[in-house]
Amino acid sequence: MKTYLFLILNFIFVGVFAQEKKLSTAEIEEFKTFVEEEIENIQTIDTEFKQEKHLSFLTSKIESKGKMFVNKQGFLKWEYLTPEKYSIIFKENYIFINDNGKKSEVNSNQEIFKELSDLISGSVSGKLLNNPKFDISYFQKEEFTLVKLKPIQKSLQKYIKQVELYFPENDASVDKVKLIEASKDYTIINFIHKKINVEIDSHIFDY
Amino acid sequence: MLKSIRIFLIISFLSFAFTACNSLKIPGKKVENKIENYEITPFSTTEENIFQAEIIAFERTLKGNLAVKNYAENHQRLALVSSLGNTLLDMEIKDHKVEIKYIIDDLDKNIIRYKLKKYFGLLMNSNYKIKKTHQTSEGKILRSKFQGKPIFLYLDSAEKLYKIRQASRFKEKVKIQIKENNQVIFQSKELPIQMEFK
Repeated sequence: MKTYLFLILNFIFVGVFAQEKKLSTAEIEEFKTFVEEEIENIQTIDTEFKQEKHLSFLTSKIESKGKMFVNKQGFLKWEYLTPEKYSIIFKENYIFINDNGKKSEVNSNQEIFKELSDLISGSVSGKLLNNPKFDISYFQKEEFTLVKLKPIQKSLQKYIKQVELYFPENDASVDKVKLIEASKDYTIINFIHKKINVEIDSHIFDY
Repeated sequence: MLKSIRIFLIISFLSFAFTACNSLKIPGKKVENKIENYEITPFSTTEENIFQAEIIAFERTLKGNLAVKNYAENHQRLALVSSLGNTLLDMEIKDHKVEIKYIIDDLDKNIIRYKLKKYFGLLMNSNYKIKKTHQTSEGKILRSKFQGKPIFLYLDSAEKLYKIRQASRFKEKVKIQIKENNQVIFQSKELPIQMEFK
């Protein structure tokens, strides 16, 4: 009997704590103002990340780890270190790929590449909140402010169903991003050892 | 003059017909078929497997992972995922019937769907009924049939599988190499597609 009671209480508490509470209009405005003010001060980002891909039919996750750098000019480097070395640099109108020493480049004038670059850097810095290409809603979930972004454009909807940004308290940069795809599979990216406004060596973005 | 042209055309046609219809020959000597079934396991060692994948298709390279779930002997689900994490392809194979659950918009073309179903159906097949056996100086070649086409399984002197070929009567269609560390290299001979899994 005690076991049942414990399980029921446990279920209720987990249910309550895991719930998402929609923010009021005043709370949204307060949060947006805070993020907008803080973003102005974000010049560079240097962070490690852990990526977990969840497939609907698989119990295990596909894991990879790496580093991300964003500089003042908006150059972005997304670098996988494990299980294999692979990096992508978004720089001006080009995407540079270094696949374990094998290099290639793509002209990124196409809008979809620019959207991808903005999506990655904007996800970490919170700049996505002002992006008119998304339908945005705000929630409180555990200790995070959760922002859900649904792409409006069909060109992006083909790849991403929803982006979820998890902002820790009093922080304009996210700790966690959840990308839900059109296939309903999803990827969680956790940012760790995040360093804001540290000097980033310009050679990091060399191709 | 007309006669000479006619003779030239007949000779050209006959030479073309003879060279083009040169059917694929299996090397070695046909021997008594002692193996009735041959099982291959690169993708079915455990219930869930994640392989690193590299795909070179039409001069474009794509890196990522191949995830395979084995439900039963002839029942699998697999997904091809890019390095950035997005699902490119998700399919279920049951009793040799392949169903695409999801395919990324860029790949969603009839010819690509058709070929991917054939190629992954072949890659995931783990059991071949052997019809003929040939003995060569390097080992054995077992002949089977899959997807209505002849299949040749190449075994080394230790009877370990190192190559699979799928062919029509005259032409090689697919070559699959199985390396020491269970690395699998799939090569289409019809389209510029190569896939490596390890």
